[in-house]
This record gives sequence, structure tokens and C-alpha cells, in this order.
Amino acid sequence: MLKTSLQMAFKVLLRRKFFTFASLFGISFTLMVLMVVVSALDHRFSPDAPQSNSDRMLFIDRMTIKGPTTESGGSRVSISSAGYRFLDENVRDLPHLERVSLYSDDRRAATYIDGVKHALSIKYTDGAYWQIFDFDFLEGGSFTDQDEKDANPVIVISQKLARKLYGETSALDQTLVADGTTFRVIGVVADTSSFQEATHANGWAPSSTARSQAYRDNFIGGYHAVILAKSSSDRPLIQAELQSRIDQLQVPDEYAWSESVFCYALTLFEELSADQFSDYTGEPRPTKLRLILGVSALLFMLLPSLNIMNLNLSRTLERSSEIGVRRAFGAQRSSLLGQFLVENIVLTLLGGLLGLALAAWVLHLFNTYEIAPGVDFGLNFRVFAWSLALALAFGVLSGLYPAWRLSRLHPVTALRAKLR
Amino acid sequence: MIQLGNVDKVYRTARMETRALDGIDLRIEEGEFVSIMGPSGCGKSTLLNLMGLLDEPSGGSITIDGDAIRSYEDKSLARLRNEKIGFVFQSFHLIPDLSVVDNVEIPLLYRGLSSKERRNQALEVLESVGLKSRVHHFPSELSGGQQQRVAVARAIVGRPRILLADEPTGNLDSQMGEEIMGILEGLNRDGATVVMVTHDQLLGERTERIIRLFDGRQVN
Repeated sequence: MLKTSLQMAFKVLLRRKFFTFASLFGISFTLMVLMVVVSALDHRFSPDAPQSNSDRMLFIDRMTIKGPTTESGGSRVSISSAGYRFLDENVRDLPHLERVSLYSDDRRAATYIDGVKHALSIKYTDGAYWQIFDFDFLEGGSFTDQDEKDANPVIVISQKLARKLYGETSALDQTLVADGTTFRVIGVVADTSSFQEATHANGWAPSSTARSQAYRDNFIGGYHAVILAKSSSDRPLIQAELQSRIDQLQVPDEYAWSESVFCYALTLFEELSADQFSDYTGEPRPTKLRLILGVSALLFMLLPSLNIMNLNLSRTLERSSEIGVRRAFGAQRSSLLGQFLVENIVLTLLGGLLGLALAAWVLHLFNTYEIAPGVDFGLNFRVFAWSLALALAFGVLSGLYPAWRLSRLHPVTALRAKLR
Repeated sequence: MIQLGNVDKVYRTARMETRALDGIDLRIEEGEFVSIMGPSGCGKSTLLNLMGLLDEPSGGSITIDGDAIRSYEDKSLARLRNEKIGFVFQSFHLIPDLSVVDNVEIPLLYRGLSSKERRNQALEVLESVGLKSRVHHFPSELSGGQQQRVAVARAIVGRPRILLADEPTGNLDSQMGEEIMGILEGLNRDGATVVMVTHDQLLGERTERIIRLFDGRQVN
């Protein structure tokens, strides 16, 4: 029956060329925009290198220290990245984790080659960083915990920076003076996306090589942690344990004014939700984010869906004779519902394919003109699967009500309706 | 073959009630060719719709080929219509988006036949009504008579035992009307029970029996 409905759908769509064109235009444009959004979201959350293990990762990026509320209703609040000391003392020995890495905020620096200034964005980190993130090394390799311990002035740089500084010659063992330190280049990695903050930089050096070592005493500010859990199901346990440690935390004397400390270990999705919707505490709002993404997609699809719904309903009169005939010759309501729904889904899937081609073109333009630095937007299997799901949702959304209306027509009424 | 016992059909709106059929009792035997006649609005088509299980009576009983219709549930009615009844309408009611052969296949679609079986049976029936050369045409490319022949082919492709025709020649000129009448008579000779609504006295007289209606009542 499905095969027959599909055949029938193609026949109807081919015969109704203007209707098909008008519908496809609306559907493909809507789906193109949604696919571009899906591609951007996918890029942020994708389990691709260097975040292949993102399903086991938790990130600590923000810390808030809040004082008591004064009579005027205000309160003293410090919001920043976390401090190295806090992370070192409270995160390293959390249960259920496989590894922890601490890495600094991006430090702006500059290096001069032949009198030309080149901007650097350096992350100071440790050996575990390279074990948690699977960077694509084009030359050389990473530094280790031992390098960090020994304060070896070595640096890993991005491919783009390597090209800028050394052109076509190998970057390995070249000298790079930045941030007051003379580094030796030991590795070159493929460029990383600016959407993935934990791995986006163009230079990575051992923390101990930073010009100032004052960061080691900081309770708040300057550092982040990435935690690799043993399994993704361990993540809630780690989050709960961190919470209980924070509840019992003894703050250093300089923060004696504080009343409460907020700091969360978050998944990538929770992190985006905290960035977008959280208050000063940085508490994640994943349900809100999910709801807003879902409702936005729905609203965005609703308008063209209503349009197609309207087109379909306006054809009710035109097709009432067909409905009457089919009912007279043995069609059940459910099979008519199925037939009209399949017709609409075929139409939206065709629109989806067109939308996908348009989205590929738009993303190609984004990449060509570097709309987002380091981001290589693409259409992979996940984006395709999401797009398919969106097209199906669109098809059902716009087709169900007209199909239901058509299938409910009484056969006698349908046969009596004026023919076109 | 078809039995109606004290059948009423009342249409109700918020303001008024219209009695389209009032206490119809009739019996049509297997293999009969019966016509239903009467002035416009006397309930002829309503009666045919009830016999074809397209509509539900307000009262009374209907028996089709020995099956007393107790429930007007969609699934069982659809099956009965599909297996036992074929329809021919005055305005043909061909689906304009489908070719001639696709139109004829419609009753077979709801029998779950394979597309090959459907195609073979449809082609065979189209040949029998003289339209073999028009199978891939669309209805709009055919004359009225040809369209009605397609509609007859569609009505008989599933080999129903009952053929209900609602003014099958009403939209045709006399020559084409004669052709269609000839086909219906042939089908009746082959064993089909045919019930035809008509305004045409001459056509009515060619059938074995005329049921006359007036104001929703049987008058003979």
C-alpha cells in the first residue's frame, strides 16, 4: 500500500506542476535555514576531533562568588573563569574521572618575525590536555606532564600560525618568542573551530612556562578545567560530587565577604544553556535551551506549514470527487489519511533534498568567506539525519490536518461537491 | 440480492427536517436489471447511495447479498463496497491527475493486489469496453462517452455482483448513451445485478422493472 501511495504521490505531484513548485519553494527555503542552524549546532556539539570524547567530557568554565544581600538590595558578586588553585584542590581528585586537565584563558601575545607582528592566542595547559582532546597533529607532537613539571619552554602551534610564521618550511624546532618566553615549536595541529572554546587557540604551552606563576594561587579567574569521565553515565555523579564539595568549601581569607560560591561542571549542551540563559550563578538551563530550540524550530516551520496546509485545504474541493470515488470503491478513512499524508511527506522530502543542496551551497559560502574563523561548516551524516527528521516533521505538521479533513469527508458529500 | 425494509432517510439541520425517503420496502433479486425513476428531488440518488452503502439510513434495515448491515463502521462498509458493489456516476468522477488505466485500477488498490495483477486486470477490462488504445491518456483527453466507458471499466474491474449506476447516460448524447446502456445490458446478461437511476422513460422501459419514487415514497 505504501508503494502504491508513493507512486500515486509522484503522479499527482508531477501533474500539479504549479502547486508542486510553489510548495517546494517554501519548503526548501525553510528547511535550508533550519539545516544551516543544525549544521552550526552540530559543529558546536559534534563528537568530532579534537572533541571525539565529548560525550564523556565536562567543562568548568565559570565561577561566581557572591556576598550577602545588603539593605539596599544589592550584593557584591565576582564572576570569572575558575581559579587554578580552586580547580587543583577540588577537581583533580573527583571520583569517576579518567583524566583532568587545567587550561588557561586565552592569553593574547605577539611575536615578531622580520619586524612583522603576529598575534597569538596562547592556552597554558598540561600534558593531560593532549590526552583528553585528540588534536590532529600535522607535525611533531604534544608536550607532557613532565614538560609542564620541568617548565620546558615548548609550544604547539596551529597550522595557520605555522604557515604565517614559517611559510612552507617546517615549523618543528623553530624558535618563537612570545609573552616574554622563548619557545621551541614541538608540534603543529590542524586549525580548530572558534565555536569550540576549549580547543580554540593558535598556541599551546605548558602552564609552568607562563611569565607569571601567580595563577597558581588564584582561587577565582584565569583557568578552566576539562574532565574526562570514565563513562558518560558517570558525569552526573561527578557533577553531584563537585556540588557537594562546593557546598562545604572553605573560601580563602580574601573572599571572607562571600556568602556563596557557584561553580558547575557542565556538558557542552549545558554550557551553551548557561551561556545563553543563566543568571549570575552560571547554573545551566538545558531544559530551557531545548525548549527554546524546539519552539523556535516549530515556529519557524509553522508559517510555511500553514501556507502548505492552506494550499492543501484549498484543494479539498478540487479533490473531493477523488475522495468520494475512492471511498465508494473501498478506501477506508485511514488509507485515505495515509495517502494524503504520504503525498505531503513526499513533497516535503523533495523540498528537504532541495533545502539540503541549498544549505550545502550557503555553508560553502560561509566557509569561503570565513564567516566564523576556523569553523569548517559541513553537512555530515548527523546533519543529514537531523534534516531528514525536520523534513518529516514538516511534512507531518503541514499534512496531517488537511489529510485528516479530506479523509473525514462523507462520500456522498464528496461526490456531490462541484467538480472543477 | 438487495433488500430494504422500511428504510427512512431524514436530513436534519438546526432549523428543519427533510424526509428524503419514507418507509421504502423493496427487494431486488440476483441478476435483475432494475431502474429507479421519479422527478428531481424525489430521493432516487439517496436510495441508490443507501443501496451502495455510501450513506446510512435513519431507520429500517438493509441487506446486501445476504449480509444484513448491522453496523455502519467504516472498515466493514469499505470492504463490502469494495468486494460487492460497483458504481457508475452521471458525471463520471474520474480522477483528473491519473491516467485511464490508473483510474480503472482504483478498486483493486484496496484489495491489496500487486501492481502487476492490477495492471493486467485493468487492461483486460479496458479492452472489453473498447478503450485499449487510450489506456495512458488522461481523462481530460477523452470524449464524454469514452470517459463514461472508463468509469464503467472501473466499476466492473473488481467483478462486483452489484452495479449501481446513477444516471449513467445523463451527461451523454443519445448515441453515446446508447453505447453505455448496451454495455450495462451486456453486463446484466453476464450475471450482474444492475440498478440504474434514470430520468429517461425509454431507458427505464428497457430494464426488467421500474421502481417509481415520488416525494421519498415508492409509488408502484
